[in-house]
Amino acid sequence: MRALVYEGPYRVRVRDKPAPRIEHPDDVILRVTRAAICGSDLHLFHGMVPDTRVGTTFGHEFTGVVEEIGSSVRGVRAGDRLVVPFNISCGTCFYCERGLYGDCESSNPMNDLASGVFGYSHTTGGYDGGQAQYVRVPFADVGPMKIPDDLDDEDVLLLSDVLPTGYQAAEMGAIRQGDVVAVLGCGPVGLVAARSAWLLGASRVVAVDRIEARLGFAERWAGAETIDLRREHDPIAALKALKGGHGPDVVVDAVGMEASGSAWQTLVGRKLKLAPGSSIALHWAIHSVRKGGTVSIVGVYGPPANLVPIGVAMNKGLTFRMAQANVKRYMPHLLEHVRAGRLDGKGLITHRFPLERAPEAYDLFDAKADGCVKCVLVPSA
Amino acid sequence: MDDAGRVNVSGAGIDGATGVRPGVPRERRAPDPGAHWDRPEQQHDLTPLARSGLLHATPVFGTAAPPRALSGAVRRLAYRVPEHRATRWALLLAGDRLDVIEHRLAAGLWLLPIAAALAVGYVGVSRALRR
Ligand SMILES: NC(=O)c1ccc[n+]([C@@H]2O[C@H](COP(=O)([O-])OP(=O)(O)OC[C@H]3O[C@@H](n4cnc5c(N)ncnc54)[C@H](O)[C@@H]3O)[C@@H](O)[C@H]2O)c1
Ligand SMILES: [Zn+2]
Ligand SMILES: [Zn+2]
Repeated sequence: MRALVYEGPYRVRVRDKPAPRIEHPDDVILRVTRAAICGSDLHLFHGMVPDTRVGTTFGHEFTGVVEEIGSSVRGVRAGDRLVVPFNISCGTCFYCERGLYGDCESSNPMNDLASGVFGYSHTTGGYDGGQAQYVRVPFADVGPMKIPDDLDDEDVLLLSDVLPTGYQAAEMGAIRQGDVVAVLGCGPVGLVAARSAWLLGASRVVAVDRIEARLGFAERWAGAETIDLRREHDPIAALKALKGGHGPDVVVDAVGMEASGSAWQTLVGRKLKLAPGSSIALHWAIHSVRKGGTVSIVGVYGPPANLVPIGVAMNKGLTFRMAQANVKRYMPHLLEHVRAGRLDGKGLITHRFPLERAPEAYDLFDAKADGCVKCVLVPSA
Repeated sequence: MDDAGRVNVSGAGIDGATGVRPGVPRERRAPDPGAHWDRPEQQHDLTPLARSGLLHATPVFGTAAPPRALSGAVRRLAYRVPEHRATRWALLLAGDRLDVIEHRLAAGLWLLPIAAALAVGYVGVSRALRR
């Protein structure tokens, strides 16, 4: 089959490789119909994630049609259309039982950090991902959701990650009626967090980024006010000025380890890799949120450690919530928001490429060029 | 930036009550309707490179790229170091860089016969000219 293959930092190619096969009786093989590229894939693409092996295939946001089923699979049939959560979860372990699907302990033998994740290095289990013609999906009776007949694949594609992640980011902020919410980062995840903050009862939502097209999306798609980092050189002061100088009640970090904004952190963390990336967005969140407020982190950080001002957080009495999203837990609820037009995932898709042109798609999404927000690969094109 | 609150977004406040939020309360015990096992069956075939201290492989695991060559040896070593040690992650990153170098070298190997032929030809020609 044809698949995107990692060949080293900043180098992906589309090549032939053996198609996946059933390796466990609860697996299915999916023929991929859509596979999105995520900000998380950029961390892999830049060589920031430990144990990213040459020859592996990325992609954890995909829809597809069931091609082959394992001998124990009951609820899924050949020909079913599925949207698949990025976490691989068993449904019955200690964590899954508590709805913490992103922590499932049945799918990642390499680390006690997170569940297995499709196409996300051997640090999260060593699974090939969906940026390919076919993909192996374990525990097919648990994670995947059948796509309702009245919806097309792109309507629900982002239920695999971005919609649940952005929503959970806002939900973890424990937003109360009337709260002021700031979201750092206007990538797909930040945009969904901003839109979700409204659904959860915020009275004011402010989104922060430096990319014009994305700030435009924050205004139009998410209904947020914006702070443009190209013009605002002291974002902490600008955020603190909200809510009578206190700062927002909730700040969401939807940026993660490749944040820009600090020359020092960029040098040490992103270029020299003496730390796992830059944590400047998290610094801004901690410094700008009001005392007693909540910082919600969904931007990805890697092991082993970043320097963050924990003493400031302690003295301010902050609450931290953070997670790899528990995707499956959110799918049914968010499907209703999708149906009602309250979370228009498809509206975030700005670019579509045939799988063969995936390297070009990576470069474009990485450069955040041409107004790109969400970029989707189409294997059949 | 205007500072008047503007709640004119469709669905604003619709999930305001915490009872309707999917992740609240945080720990909910609900048997998963899809899972038809108490503990999932074990995947066989292969033993994954697992973390130290894990008694059995997890029921499922990925088999995308088994460790090989020198980078594989470094990775094997890394997984013997506990996760809380920076050494583990430094070794894994070193393994990643090595993997790329190995891959490039392997990709370049097909050039060897050509280079060898050119070298032999060059030596032959220069000897002939010297005579
Ligand atoms: N926790 C999860 O489950 C989960 C799921 C999906 C993605 N993520 C992570 O969320 C993050 C965002 O994902 P995405 O797909 O939206 O990525 P993206 O790369 O498209 O967007 C990141 C945005 O942050 C902006 N940015 C950079 N530095 C900033 C700063 N200092 N302040 C404000 N904005 C800044 C960039 O301009 C960019 O628009 C990534 O780290 C990704 O790995 C986490
Ligand atoms: Zn993603
Ligand atoms: Zn589990």
